[in-house]
Amino acid sequence: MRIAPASIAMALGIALAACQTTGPPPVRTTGDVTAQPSAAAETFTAEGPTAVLWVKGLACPGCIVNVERQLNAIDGVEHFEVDLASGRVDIALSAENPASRQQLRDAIDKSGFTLDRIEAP
Amino acid sequence: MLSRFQLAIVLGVGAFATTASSHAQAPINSNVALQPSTGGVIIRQQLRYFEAGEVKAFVVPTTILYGLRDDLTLLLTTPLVFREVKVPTTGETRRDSGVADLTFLTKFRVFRDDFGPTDTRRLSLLGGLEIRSGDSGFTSDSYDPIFGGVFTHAEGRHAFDADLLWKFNTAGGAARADQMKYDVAYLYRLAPDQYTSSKLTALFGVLELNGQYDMNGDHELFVSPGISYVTKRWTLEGTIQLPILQELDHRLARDFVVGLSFRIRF
Repeated sequence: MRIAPASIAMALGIALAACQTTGPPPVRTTGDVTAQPSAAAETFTAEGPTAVLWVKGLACPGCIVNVERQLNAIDGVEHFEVDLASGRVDIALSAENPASRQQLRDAIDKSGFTLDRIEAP
Repeated sequence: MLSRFQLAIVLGVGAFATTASSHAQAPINSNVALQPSTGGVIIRQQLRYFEAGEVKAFVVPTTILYGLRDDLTLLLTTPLVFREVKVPTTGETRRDSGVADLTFLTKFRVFRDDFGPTDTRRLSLLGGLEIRSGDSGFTSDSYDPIFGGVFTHAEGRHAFDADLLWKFNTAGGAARADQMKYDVAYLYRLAPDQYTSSKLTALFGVLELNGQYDMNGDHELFVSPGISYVTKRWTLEGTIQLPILQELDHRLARDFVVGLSFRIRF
């Protein structure tokens, strides 16, 4: 057996460095997702009807691509904005042919995440 | 019969040594239970360099993932190998290159619990085949089934992944025994401490243990610190793998492995 003490020391060093990272404590993101603040809600604008989806399981920035792919495939969606921290997805719907609740529900389903609830007209 | 040098390539750094980990927040050398969405495509390009005594090699695996459904992903990995070996008796240096065995895998999610906006735990099964490349000197010359599973838990700034894979070597011979690959990985989001709509990039510190036990008694375990920079569309990551345990009688012991990787999502 060959054991490299330097390897173990390096690994422990990195682990300790990670644990000692300073900054504000992480925000607990479990529980009621609607309780989270949302920057998206403050910046999002739409002229026609809107919908808000609350999505759970968006573990990282790359997950947004999954949601984008599915929402972009719906004709009745004009544009949208995803707030990763809160899981809030603000959607501007087409005035003539707005996406239905079922279409929005299916889109989140196909993206591989859990839809907590929909706020839509 | 394959030389020990060839075996180092075929058994040690072939497609089995690569991973189905091609999502965004994912370990570098281990698998992850996250998947692209239906119709989604992820391409991962790796560059791995290792030295094993007189052998030096670059392995360049390219992995393509396709989301057939949100819970079913197809993966194909093709590894190119560029190697150099110094012949001890003559001092001569031989260089050649080729295509190692390809890996085709399916990843099927059997459990999902999204328990917060950025929190999830998932379990996926992996199954597929290591396919002979037919490139003499780089291939195992067999079709070897692979089965396994991977679990991922992501919560706040922390993520944990664990996988177990088994490869049935169908070619026979003591040096070509069945292989068990096992990995555990911990990711810590170094920055940002909290996502906002304008902070859609993240930097992760990664620490992995990557092991492989062959049924002929060969056992190898690496500790693999790394760093991963994740944006919405792409991920850039680097790692070094250092051996902490090597009991090898049938293939060469790698002194270290350095890996760089780029993933892009469509």
